[in-house]
Amino acid sequence: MRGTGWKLLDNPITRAMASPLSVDDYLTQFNPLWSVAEVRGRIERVERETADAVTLHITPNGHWQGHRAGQHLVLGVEIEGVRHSRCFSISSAPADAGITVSVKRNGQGLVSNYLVDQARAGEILHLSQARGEFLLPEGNGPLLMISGGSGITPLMAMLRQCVREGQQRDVVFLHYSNSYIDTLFRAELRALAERFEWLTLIQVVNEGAPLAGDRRGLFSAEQLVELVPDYAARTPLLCGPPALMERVNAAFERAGLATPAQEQFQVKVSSAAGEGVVLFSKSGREAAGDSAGSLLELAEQQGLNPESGCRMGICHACKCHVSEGRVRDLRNGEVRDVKDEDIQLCVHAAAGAVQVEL
Amino acid sequence: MNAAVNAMPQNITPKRGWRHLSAEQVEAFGAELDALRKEVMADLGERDARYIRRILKTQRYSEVAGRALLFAGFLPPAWIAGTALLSLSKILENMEIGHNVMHGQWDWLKDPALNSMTYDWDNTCPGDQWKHSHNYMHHTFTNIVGKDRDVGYGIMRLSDDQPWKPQYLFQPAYNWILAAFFQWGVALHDVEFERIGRGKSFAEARKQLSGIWKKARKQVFKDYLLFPALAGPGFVFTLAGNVTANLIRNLWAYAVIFCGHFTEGVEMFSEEEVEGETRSEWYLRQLLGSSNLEGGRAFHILTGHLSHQIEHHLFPDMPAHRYAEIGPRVQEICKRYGLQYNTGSLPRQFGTVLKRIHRLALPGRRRAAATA
Ligand SMILES: Cc1cc2nc3c(=O)[nH]c(=O)nc-3n(C[C@H](O)[C@H](O)[C@H](O)COP(=O)(O)OP(=O)(O)OC[C@H]3O[C@@H](n4cnc5c(N)ncnc54)[C@H](O)[C@@H]3O)c2cc1C
Repeated sequence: MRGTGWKLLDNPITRAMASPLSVDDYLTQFNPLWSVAEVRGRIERVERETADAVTLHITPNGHWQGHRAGQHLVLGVEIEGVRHSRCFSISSAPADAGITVSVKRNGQGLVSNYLVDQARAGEILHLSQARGEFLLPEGNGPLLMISGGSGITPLMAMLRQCVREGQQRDVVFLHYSNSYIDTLFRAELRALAERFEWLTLIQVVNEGAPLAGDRRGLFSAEQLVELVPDYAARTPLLCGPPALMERVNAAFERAGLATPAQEQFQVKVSSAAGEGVVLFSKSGREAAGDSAGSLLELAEQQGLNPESGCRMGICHACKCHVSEGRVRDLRNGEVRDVKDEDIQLCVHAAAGAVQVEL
Repeated sequence: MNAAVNAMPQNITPKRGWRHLSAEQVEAFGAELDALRKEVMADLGERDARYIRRILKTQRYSEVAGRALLFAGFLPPAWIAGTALLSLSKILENMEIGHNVMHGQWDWLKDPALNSMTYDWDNTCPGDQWKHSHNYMHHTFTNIVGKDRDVGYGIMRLSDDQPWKPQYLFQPAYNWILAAFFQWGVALHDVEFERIGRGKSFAEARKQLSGIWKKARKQVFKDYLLFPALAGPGFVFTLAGNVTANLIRNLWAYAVIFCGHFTEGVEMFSEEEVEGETRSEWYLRQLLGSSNLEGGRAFHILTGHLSHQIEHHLFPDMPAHRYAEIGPRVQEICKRYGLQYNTGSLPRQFGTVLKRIHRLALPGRRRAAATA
C-alpha cells in the first residue's frame, strides 16, 4: 500500500479505537512493515562486497519518499533485542528499484560488524527519510569526486545517477583505499570507467602494486596536482575518513580554493565534561553537569531514557526541549544561552545551570 | 514473624524485623542484593526481548479478537469468549505491559513502543501521574504511613498507625466499591482530596484533575461509546462486554495489589523511622513491607509478576519476568539473614488482607507503641 493508503487508516476514529496506544502499536503486530507513518524496510538480499563490507538491498515500505544521490538515512536495527540506530549513505541511484546501503566494518563497532556478518534477507529495518545536503551539483560542469574507504558510498550513488541518466558529465573519480581487494564497488567502477569516456577512475592504494594510472600512498597536494592537473576547474566533492578529509581540505585552502562539498561519516565531538547543575524537570532529577560529557549521557546516568539515535548530532532523535540554560556545543566548543529551544542532547553539554524537560 | 526471626537472640526487642542484624550485616545484605541486581541486568538480552514481544503480541491479538467477537455479542458464546479475551488483554496490558513498561523495565530495548517516557496504559489513570504517584511516591516511600498513598488510598485504614476515624467503620463495604472501580481509585488517589486547601493548592489539584479528565474521557468514549456504536444493533452487548472486562480487570488488579502490601505480617513504617535511611535499609523496608503470591507461570504473568512483589520492590526497573527466576535466590539470602520472606497462595494472602480491612475498621491498634 502507498503512503497515502496507510494514512487513511490513521483517522480520528482509528486513533480513538487504539487510544491510549497508537494505531501502529496494533498494525505492527500483524506485519512489522505496516505503519501509518513510519518508514521501515525489509532486507531483500545481502551482497558481499569485500571481506569487510556488504551491500544491503532494501525494499522500503510505502512511506519512503525517495532520495537524492548523496543523501543518507538513519537505519535502526535490532541486535540481541536492542534497537541501535546509525547513519548510512544510500549507495543506489534514485532511479533504482529499492535502495541499497553499503556498510563497511568500522573497527570494533557494533552495528557495522553486525550488518557485515549477520544481516540476513527478511530482516526488518527502521528507517528515516533520506536527508542530507551532500548532493550531486546541478548542471553539467566537470566534477572531481574524492573518497576514501567507506566514504565512497554517497559518491557512488552520484556516479550511478550520472550513468542512469546518461549525463555524459566529465567526472574524475579519485578513490583512496587500503588495497584493491578492499575496495567497495571495484568491479563496477572498472567496468564503468572502461565503458564511458567521460569517467576517469584513479585509485590510490596503501598496499600492493598500483595498476597503470593509479598510485600508492596517501593523499598529498602534490599528488593531487599530478593526478588531476585541472582539479581547480572542477567542482570537488569529498567523503572519507577524517584524516583524509583534513588533508584534502588543507590542500584546497592552501591553494586558495574553497573547500569541497563534503559529508562527514565521523563527527569530531569533544568529550569535555559539562559544568553547572542540570535539572531534569519532568522527572525532578538533578545532576552535576560534570559527571558526564553530553547531556544525553548525563540523562542516561540518571536512569532517564530519552530517545536517541546516532549520538553524533546527525539524526536529531535525541532532540529535547530545554526551558533555559547555558550549553556547550560539543562539535565546536561554542557556549550559548538557550531559552525554550529544542536541542540535540548528544552533542551538547551543560555549561552552567540547565533545565531539560525530561 | 516467622520462625527464623523468632529463633534470633531475644535480648534486644526486635523493633523491626531486621533489628537483630548489626549495621555491618545490614550493609552485607544490601551488597548481596546489589550484586544480584547487577548480575541480572548485565545478562539482559535477546531472551528478554523475545519474552516481552510475545506478551505484546498475545495482548494485541487477544484484544483485537475479543473486540471482534463482541461485535457478534448477541450470540452468547461469542459474548463470553469476547469478554474473556478482552479481560485477558486488559489484564495483560495493565499488569505485565503497562505497569512494567512505565517502570522503565524495557527502556534498554530502545524501542519507542516500550519506552517509559512515552508509554500510556489502557487505564483511566494518566501515565505521567501514575509515574509520580506510583514509581516515585509509592516505591520510594513504601509503607510509610502518611507518605505512601497506597496505604489506604486516602480512604481506608490499613495500618494500625493510621488514626481511626468513624468513616472507617464502613470500609469493609466500600472496600468492594474501590475494588470494582479500582482504575478510578488509582486515577484519583494522587489528587489527595483530603490535602487540598491544606498543603496542596487548588491550582495543583485542578491541573491534575484536568489531566485525569482528558485521559479518562478517551477511555470512557472508547469502551462505552465508540466500540458499542460500531457494533450498531449490538450496542448493548458490546457495552456490557466492555463494562465486564473493565470490571474483571479492576477486581483482579485490586486483589493482586492489595496482596502486595496489606497481608498479614507486612510492616508499616513511620516517617521518623526512615530518616537517614541507607540503601541497604531501604532494601529491608521494601522486603518487609511487601508480600508475594505463589502460583504457576501463567498466574505470575497475569499479575504482571506483582506476585513477586518483594522482588519487584527490591528491583523495580528489572524486567519483571526475571523476578520468578531470582525469587528463590532472594529467599535464600533472606533465610541466611533471618529475615521474613512473606509468601503464600492468593486465597490465603487475600484472606489476611480482608481480615486487616475488617479489624482496622474498628478503633484501636494491635501493636503497642513500642514499635515507634
Ligand atoms: C552521514 C553519514 C553517512 C555514513 N554512511 C556510511 C556508509 O555508507 N557506509 C558505512 O560503512 N558507514 C557509513 N557511515 C559511518 C557509520 O555510521 C559508522 O560506521 C557507524 O556509525 C559505526 O557504528 P558501529 O555501531 O559499527 O560503531 P560503534 O559501536 O558506534 O563504534 C564507533 C567507533 O568506536 C569504536 N569502538 C567501539 N567500541 C570500541 C571499543 N570497545 N574499543 C575501542 N573502540 C571501540 C569502533 O571501532 C568505531 O570506530 C556514515 C556516517 C554518517 C555520519
